[in-house]
Amino acid sequence: MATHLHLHGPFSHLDGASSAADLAARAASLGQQALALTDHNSLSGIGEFTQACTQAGVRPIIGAEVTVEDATGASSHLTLLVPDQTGYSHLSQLISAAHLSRPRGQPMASQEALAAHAPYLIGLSGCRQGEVSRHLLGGRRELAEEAARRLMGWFGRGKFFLEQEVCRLPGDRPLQRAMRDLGQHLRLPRVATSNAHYAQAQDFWLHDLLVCIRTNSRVDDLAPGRPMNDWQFVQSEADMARGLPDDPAAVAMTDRVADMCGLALPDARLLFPAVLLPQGASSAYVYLRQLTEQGAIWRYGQIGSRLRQRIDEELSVIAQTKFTDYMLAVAEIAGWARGAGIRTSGRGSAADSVVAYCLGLTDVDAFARDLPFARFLSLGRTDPPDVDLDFDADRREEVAAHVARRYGQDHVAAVATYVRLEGRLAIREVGKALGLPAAELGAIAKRVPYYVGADGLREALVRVPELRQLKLSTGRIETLLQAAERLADWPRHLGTHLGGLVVTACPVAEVMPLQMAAKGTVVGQFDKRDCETFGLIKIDLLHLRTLSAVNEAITVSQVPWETIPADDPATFRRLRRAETVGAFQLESPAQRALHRRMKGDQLEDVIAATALIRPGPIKGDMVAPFVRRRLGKEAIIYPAPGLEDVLGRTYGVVVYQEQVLEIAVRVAGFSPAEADRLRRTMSRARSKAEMQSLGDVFCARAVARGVDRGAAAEIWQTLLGYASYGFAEGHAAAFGLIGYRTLYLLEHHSAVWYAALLNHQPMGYYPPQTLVTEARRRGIQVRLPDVNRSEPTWTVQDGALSCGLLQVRNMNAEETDRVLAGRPYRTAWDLAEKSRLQPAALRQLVLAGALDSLIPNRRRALWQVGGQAAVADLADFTPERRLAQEMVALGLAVSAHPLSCFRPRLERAGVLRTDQVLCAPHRMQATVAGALVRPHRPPTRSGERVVFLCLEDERGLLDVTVPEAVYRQNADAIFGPDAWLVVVEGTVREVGTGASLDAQRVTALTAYLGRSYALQPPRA
Amino acid sequence: MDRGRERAVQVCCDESGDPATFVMGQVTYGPLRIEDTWAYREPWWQADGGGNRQVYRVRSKAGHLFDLCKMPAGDWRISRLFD
Repeated sequence: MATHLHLHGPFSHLDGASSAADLAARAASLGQQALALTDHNSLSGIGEFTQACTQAGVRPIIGAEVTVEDATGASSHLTLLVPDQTGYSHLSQLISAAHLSRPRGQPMASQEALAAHAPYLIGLSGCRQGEVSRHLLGGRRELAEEAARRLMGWFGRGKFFLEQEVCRLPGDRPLQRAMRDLGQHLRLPRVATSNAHYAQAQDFWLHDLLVCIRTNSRVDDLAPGRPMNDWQFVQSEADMARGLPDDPAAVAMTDRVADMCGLALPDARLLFPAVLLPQGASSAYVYLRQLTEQGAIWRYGQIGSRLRQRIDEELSVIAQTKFTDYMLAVAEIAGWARGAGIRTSGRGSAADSVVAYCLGLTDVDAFARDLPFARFLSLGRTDPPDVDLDFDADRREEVAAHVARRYGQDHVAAVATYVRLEGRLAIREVGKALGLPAAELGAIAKRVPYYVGADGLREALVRVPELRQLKLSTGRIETLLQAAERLADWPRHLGTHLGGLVVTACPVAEVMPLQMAAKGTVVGQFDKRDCETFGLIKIDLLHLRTLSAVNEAITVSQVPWETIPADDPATFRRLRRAETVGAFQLESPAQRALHRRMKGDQLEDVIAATALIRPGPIKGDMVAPFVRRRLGKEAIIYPAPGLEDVLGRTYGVVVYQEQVLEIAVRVAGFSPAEADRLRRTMSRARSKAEMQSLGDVFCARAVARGVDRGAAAEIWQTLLGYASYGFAEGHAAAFGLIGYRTLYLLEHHSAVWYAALLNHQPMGYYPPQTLVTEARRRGIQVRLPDVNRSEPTWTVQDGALSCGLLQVRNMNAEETDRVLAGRPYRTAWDLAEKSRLQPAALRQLVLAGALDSLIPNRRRALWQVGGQAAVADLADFTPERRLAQEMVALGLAVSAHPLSCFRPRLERAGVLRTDQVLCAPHRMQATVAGALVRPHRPPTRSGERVVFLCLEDERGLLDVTVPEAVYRQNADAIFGPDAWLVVVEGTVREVGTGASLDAQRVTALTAYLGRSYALQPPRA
Repeated sequence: MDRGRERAVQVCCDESGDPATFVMGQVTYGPLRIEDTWAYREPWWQADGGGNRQVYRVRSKAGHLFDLCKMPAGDWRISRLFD
């Protein structure tokens, strides 16, 4: 039937135009028994490919087209196939050597590397870029023979084949004849390939388009490397034979080569390194028990019988699932970080483990909260547990370096993540290749919501109001949309996972190919999912900027972070007022609206709130019942009898993932592992049919246990509502605790906390401009930078929040040091002379107001730093101009809010301030002006496209809801490329103790005032 | 002879679909030996961009080389001629 042994898939990055599923289906439809994947210098696609082949009933063969050094040092291609597990390991090492020995993006394996690994592989001489073919095409028969002999020597007779390409290209026939003659001369077998880049001929256009993107050319251009015809597809045996009439044996040979290749995938399940044990510890298990018991004494003072039983159960499961070394490894990492003074905090499902708590991996007492360990790990689960460790963002790399030192550089690699083609990227890249005007593409891309996938563009152009208003050129837009639909989620290029590190007992390159990431670190070619599939254990060392800010704030304020009182009345009053901007996880408009209604007065409320504002509980309509029941306005009812202890803490409402698990166990008799699989499937299931099938299983098992069919269906509906996404309780508790403590800092050390937040941007929900406005609203003086007083970063001076010199455009650390060293300065000349700053930096300091204390008139200051005396009566810039320049120099407005420039005019027009609206009566008609902050269109239960945004002015924030009809009419004012200052007319709606505005019209301030202004939006 | 100009031509094919003879003017050329063959895809992004041109480089009995081109519509042309 013929087998395709040279095939490129999506992970050939812009050189493969069909999905693994389409390729496998094509081979199956032709009756082909096997199919090989040979991406360019990569094994990234083998997970998807193997799965797709298995589903299609085709035997997958693993391989790669590797760039190797030829006899002259130039690069050439070889098609390599894996015969067995050992071969896989050698191919992985060869690809790693090709990447790591050369500059990033130019992989090439040396002849020595090839010679070392070739004996374990099957080699095909390659495409026209192969050394043998290239010499034959150039008429250099002797060099071709010499190359073939050399390669045959390395691979071994019987394992090296001359590749007969059947691509209908000019020169094919003479090349095929020459290859046949060479093979006969050397007694080397030939094997046919079509060097396939797509499944069927009709997919050719997509491949051509991808090549245009890759080569940065347009379809109208003649560009080298573009395919000439549409024959590089998965051809039938008959097509192959017709294209190779002079060497028919080569087609038959494909099946014989395929038979030499067994399925060989990485199997790293047992490859996590054994932890070095201290003297006296007879085994890892004994050592883990010892550490856990020590930790239990530290955490609880003593170990009671219930606690001991829980610890024993957890340790037993950890040992049986063979994760003892893993737990010891993460405990060692967290311990090392703490010893080095690096702030760390664990989250995720690890917070459901008492052992993790005792080891200091998390700060959530899973025993006191009675959290089910099964959410973290259970017998029968095949996926590895997740211990997510957050570290101070400024020092996370130190932790990663420690791991590399401890286990050896060769044994540690970052996990990959693939940047995929989503809506905006597809518009820009495909549109450019199609030759569409850059301005038109920019206008579309800027208006495409971030969540729209490449396959959702067609619908978005019809449904998203600001896109519908665009006048688009027809014709090629349709081609663009067709291409985008086909290329949705296509891997564009390799990136680095935020924190995932793979650690292996053997060198990582033996199980996963390595390459260099853009940031100069070594990254593996498997993403998180593939690592899980192949049993590679990932350690998540994440960075959390909040921890960096915490570190700074508690150092300055001397607040003991770990012993911040959990019942501080002032902090809870702030929570109930919803004045939480700047508090971790508690500051979003949805959180603030919740707290206004919920009236929280204990840490448990903060934890529940953290979990409630998630897609699962929101879509499941669980927020409102939770609040009503908490306030005693609605009776607490449970979905089934016997669930009181599962749902009691959340008033009968499903808020946490653990509750889903527990309900599945209690109602339908699932085992913990089955329940967790159910949870995972629920969170990933896309189709209604899949969910229905899950529901049928749940209900059938519940009924079998005596639950009434109607009740079982009702309980399933409750769980279904939760399906999209929610938090584990342990995770919510970890985040809730940090959130509460940051709120405490916000309440009691606000200036210090704002300074810390501003020094660690970007982070949090709001931009720096909002933080500055909030600080000022709370009565904190916010000062411009001052060359005589400011520190490099934001600091608190005499109770005032003082802008740092590094905030000023063109100022770097070295120049800032020079400013500090030359103090004090008496005049602008003095500064220019002593600091020796570049003119651009001096100019920006003036415009930022950093010389106001020396010379208040900034126009005169500009003359002076330029070394010239200004004319005596030179007038300063207007206030609006000064603020505009300040915003350019600092990236945000520090001395005043931008709206203040327009306030007199707005007041005359009856436009209110945000604080006036907040205390206005319900349903009052109001007009208010402000800067747009984070307008967004989240998915709503009703499916309606509602816009939520914040309006920010001198007095604070006002939450605004824009209904779909209003959004459609005013889309460009909200989401247009220049959207910033707006005037909103609407109706006041009371929300708990505050208010929001339901918009009826949103107008750009320029249109409202009938004039333009010099101000530009903040940079950040 | 002309170079670089395409000219319509009558071609007779064998059972496999390969050109066996062709007639140009009053002369029949053949039997033909196929030296090479390749395909060229019409620009797919253009309105009339469907299909392949199949080019056959053939040698006549007299030893002359020709490029015979089968157009997407099925008609034949000589796209390049060699002395």
